[in-house]
Amino acid sequence: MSDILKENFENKQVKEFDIPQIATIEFSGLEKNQLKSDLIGSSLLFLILLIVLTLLSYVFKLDFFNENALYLYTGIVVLFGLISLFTYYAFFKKSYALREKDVIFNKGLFWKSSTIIPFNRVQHCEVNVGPIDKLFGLAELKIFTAGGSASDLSIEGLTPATAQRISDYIIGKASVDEEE
Amino acid sequence: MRQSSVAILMIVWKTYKIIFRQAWPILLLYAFGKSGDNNVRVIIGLAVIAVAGMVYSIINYYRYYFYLRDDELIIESGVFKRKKLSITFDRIQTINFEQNIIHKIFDVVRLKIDTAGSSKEEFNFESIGEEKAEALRSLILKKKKSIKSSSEAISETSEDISKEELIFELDLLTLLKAGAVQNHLKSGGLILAFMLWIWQSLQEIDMQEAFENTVVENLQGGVLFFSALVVVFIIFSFAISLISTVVRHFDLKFSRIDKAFKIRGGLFTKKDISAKDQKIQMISWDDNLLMKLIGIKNLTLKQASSVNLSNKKSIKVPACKPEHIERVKEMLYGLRKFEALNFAPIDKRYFYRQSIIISLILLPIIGGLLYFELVFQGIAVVLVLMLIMLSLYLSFKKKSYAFNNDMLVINGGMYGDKTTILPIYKIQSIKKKQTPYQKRNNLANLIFYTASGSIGIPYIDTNVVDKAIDELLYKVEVSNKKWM
Repeated sequence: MSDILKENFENKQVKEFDIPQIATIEFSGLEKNQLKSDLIGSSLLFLILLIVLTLLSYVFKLDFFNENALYLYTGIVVLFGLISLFTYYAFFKKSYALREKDVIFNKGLFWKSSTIIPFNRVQHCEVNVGPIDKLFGLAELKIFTAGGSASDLSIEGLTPATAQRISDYIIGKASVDEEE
Repeated sequence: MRQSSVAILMIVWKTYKIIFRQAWPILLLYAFGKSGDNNVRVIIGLAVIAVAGMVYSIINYYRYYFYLRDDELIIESGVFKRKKLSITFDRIQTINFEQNIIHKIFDVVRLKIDTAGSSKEEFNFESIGEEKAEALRSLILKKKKSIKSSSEAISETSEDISKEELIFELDLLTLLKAGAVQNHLKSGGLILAFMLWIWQSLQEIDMQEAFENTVVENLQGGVLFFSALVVVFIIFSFAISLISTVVRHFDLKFSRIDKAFKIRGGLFTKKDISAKDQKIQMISWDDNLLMKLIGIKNLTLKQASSVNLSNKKSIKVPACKPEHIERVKEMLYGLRKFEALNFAPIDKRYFYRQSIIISLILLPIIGGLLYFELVFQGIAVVLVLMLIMLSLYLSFKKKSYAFNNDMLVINGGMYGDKTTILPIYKIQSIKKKQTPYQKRNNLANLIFYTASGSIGIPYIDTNVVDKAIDELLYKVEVSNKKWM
């Protein structure tokens, strides 16, 4: 038994400066088109809200909506403005980086978070192209681990080619580790 | 091989349960909708459903086969559509036995097979003769081992394999003691919910007013009634947690068998659960003020779960003595792995920040109450505030963390203590989180995700966080041990 232990025992000394540091990584931002896609997405939602509101207050003439129409319209416009502003500024806070052994994704305008997934813990990857994404030539890369949905990554705002390339890269790395 | 014929009984029962669950609104409608001449029809309808269910179950039983071929377990089933499932032994993670009263009478067990599949892949055999089940389990485990040993390196230290070694068992007295010191607030919460429900029901039938009148009119009676209520509440909370502990863990045996932990116990339903070392991602133990008095802790072994990250997958061992926990640590990881752990506290702003927020909320309320000369209520809120502050302070004081080359240890708790240990190579991903306040103050929360849930450390200096992330990632990335 002790032979097996010795064989597997590894305890190489690691000098501090040998360990790669996160603080020194250069991150890349997302494709600019993603911002347009995001804004158009929320505009569509906003448009639907406006149509519903108009229907309720002027076509069906429900009392509450008819009387308070002005406030409701202002409310929705202000909300849309805030959401757009937030989307705009938050967009520039999203960034990702690939290293030899892991992938890092940052996000958050006010509440910041950065998630790091080592490749040897990746279960599988998925490249998704939604309808709006398609118009703008965008794709979303999802990286799954066994740590549950909270620990999974989804990097949006990539070109389909990049997304596929990153996915292949990660899968390649993950399976190399498996063989060892 | 077929299941034992007792299975028919089980399947009939299960089918009825399913039918009832699906159809109870219709049944209710039938039963209460129109009385009179419909009654006969209802009874006939029920009888038809019952007979159909019975026939279905019996056919189901006769069409359910399982057999072993080479290194596979093959299950054929289905009444209308034939289904054939094959599970290779190396994908089988755990094999658990369960026995309820009917099982016990007929000397059979329910066999649960859990696999490493990514989707919901669990197989239940309703009932199998006890000896047959034991034989099946040892056969599968033996074959599994012969596959394993050729392909996988051994990563754990274990002295004696394939022999069951008892870690401890609980006699009734210890069990009663353990039940008496459990967290009664939990069962208290249940009772509170129940009482609220009754209160609501009373309200609906206008009883509440009458009730309130009798109580409120006579203040002395009201106080008496209230204190009686509190006493009853406490007694009930106590009784419920005591009884549930005894029922769940009666005749508990916690043992080590062939690189796995096994726990067996239960009064009405005897459960037999095992957790393989490889599948255990984290272990933790905790206690409360009462448990400290008699020196026991609850131990939890958290297993990776393919289905979801629910509590179902963790093994809870009540009434562990410190030496038992040491033994589990030694068996699972080896004590050598716990050397050179230097614990660091979290930042004190964790306490300051939260106290200030809670004070900002409660102090105006206290001021308002005193302004309106509601002294008694004011004092009550002051006491609540003090209690919250104390809790925050204790929870800050107890939080600390440490890691060395192999292990990550996180301490926490409020009135009790809680320790979680996690081999670093079991980490799936790491997240650093900052609120705007933390960003301004160079602080961050650190969260570790594993296949059996996540655990975090709040309020650490960002420099320390970055360094910790670098080191831990390095350790995960150079490790080629399988996390499961």
